[in-house]
Amino acid sequence: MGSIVFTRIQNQVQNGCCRRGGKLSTRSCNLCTRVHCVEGHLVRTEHSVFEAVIDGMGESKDGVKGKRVVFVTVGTTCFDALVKVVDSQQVKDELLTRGYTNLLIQMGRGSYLPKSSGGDGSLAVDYFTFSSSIADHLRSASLVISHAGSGSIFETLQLGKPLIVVVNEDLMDNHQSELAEELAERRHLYCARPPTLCQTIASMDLKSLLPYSPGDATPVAKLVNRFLGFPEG
Amino acid sequence: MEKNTGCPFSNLSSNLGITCFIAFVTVILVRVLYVIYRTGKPLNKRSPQQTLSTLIVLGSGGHTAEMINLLLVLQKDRFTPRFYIAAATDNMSLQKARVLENSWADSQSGVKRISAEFMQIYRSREVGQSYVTSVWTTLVATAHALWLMIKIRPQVVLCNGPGTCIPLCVIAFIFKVIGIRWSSIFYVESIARVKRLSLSGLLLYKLQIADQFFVQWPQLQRKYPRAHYVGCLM
Repeated sequence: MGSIVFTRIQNQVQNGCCRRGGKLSTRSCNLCTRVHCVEGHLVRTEHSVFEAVIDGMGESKDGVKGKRVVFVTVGTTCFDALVKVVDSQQVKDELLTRGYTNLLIQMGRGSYLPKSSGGDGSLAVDYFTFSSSIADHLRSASLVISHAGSGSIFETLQLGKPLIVVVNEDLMDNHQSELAEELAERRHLYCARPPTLCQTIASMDLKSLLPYSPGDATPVAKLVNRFLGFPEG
Repeated sequence: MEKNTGCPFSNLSSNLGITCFIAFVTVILVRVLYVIYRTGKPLNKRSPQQTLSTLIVLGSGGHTAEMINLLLVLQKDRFTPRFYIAAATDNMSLQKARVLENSWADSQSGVKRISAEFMQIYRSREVGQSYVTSVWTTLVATAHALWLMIKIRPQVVLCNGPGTCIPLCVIAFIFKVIGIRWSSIFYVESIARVKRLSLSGLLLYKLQIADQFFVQWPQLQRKYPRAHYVGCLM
C-alpha cells in the first residue's frame, strides 16, 4: 500500500506536470520548488497528505532500508553555531539513541567543517555547501533540523516532515524567532536555540506534532481586485 | 542713487520669490494631503477586460515564494504587462518568476503573447548591514529605482518586503503627487512577521503609502487596525 502512494508522488514530481479533466493550470510546487502544471490548491494538499501517509509508515519503510537520515539545512545563510552543535558528540549520540543512522549537513556559507565519519555503529556524517536538490534531501529525510528562514520552514512542513527549527541568535534584527515560536506554539514544529538543541532532541515527541495545512492567497487576490474596481469572480 | 533704485527692486523680487515659493510649497502640500486622503479609497468600477500595468517587487527566498503564491491566483489577463524587479544580488527570484511566466506562456499556447519584463535593482540594505551604512546604499538604490520607475510607470505595485520595495513605493507615491501616474500600492507583510511589522512594512503603514496593507497573523491586525488580515499565504 505504502509503496503505491509513494510512486504516485514520484510521478508527479518527475513529470512536473499533471493534467486533470483536460484543464491545465499552473501552480508552484513547494515539494520540489519547481513550477508544475497542476490543478490549483488541491494537489498541494494531496502532496502533504500523501507525504504524511508515507511518514506515518516511515518506521517500516525506513526499517527495510535501515537508513534514517537527519538533514540539517542552513539555507543560503552562514550559521556555524548550528553546524557546530549538530557536529558535537553530545547531539550525535542523542540522534543515535533516537534511532537515526545518517547525518547530512547543508552548511551554506559557513566556514566550520564537520568531521566526516561513519561505519561501525556510529552516526554517518556527511556535508555539502549548496545543492540545487534540497527538496530531494528533505524528502528522503526522517528528521529535518533547519535554520529559521521561512522558505526552509514551509518547504519542510508541506512535505510533512518532523522539523526542529534552530534560531540563529547572532542575527542583528532577530525577527526570525517569531515565526518559529508561533508555529511551535501551534505544535507544527519544535523550536530550539543552538545550546538547547540537544535537550530538544532528547525530549521531543514527534507523534504529538500536528500536520500543517498549506495557506491560500485567494483572500489577498479578492481584496486587490475589489480595491481596483474589478467585478467579482 | 544706485542703492535707492536697487533696493526697492530687489525687495520686490525677493518678495515675489518668497511668495512664489510659499505658493509652490502650499500647492505641493495640498496635493500630498489629497493623495494621502485618496490612498486606501477603492477605485471606481471598471470592466473586467481592462488591463493594468503591474510592478511586482520580488524579495528573496521566502518573500519570493509568498509572492509567487499570490501571483498564481491573480488574474494574469488583468494584471498585464508585468514588470518584475528583484535585488541585484538575488539571482534566484527572477529565475523563479521567469519559470512561472514561461509556464503561463506554454499553457496559453501562444494565442496571446504575455508581456513580462525582468529587471534588477540595487538593494537598499543587505541582511545584517548596519543602519548607518544603509543610509548611503539607500540613496544609490533610490536613484536607480527612479530611473526604472520612469521607464515602467506602473498602475499597480505589488510588494511584500524586504527593503527593496521602499524606494519604488516612495517614487510611486511621488508620481501620484506630481501627477505622472496614479498607482495603487499593495503590501503583503511577510509570514515571518508575527508580532512586529518589518521596517519596510512599518514605513509603508505609518506614512500611509500603501493603499492596502495585508498581514498574515491576527496578532498584527489587532496592533495595526488599518491592515487586512488574510491568513497564511504559504
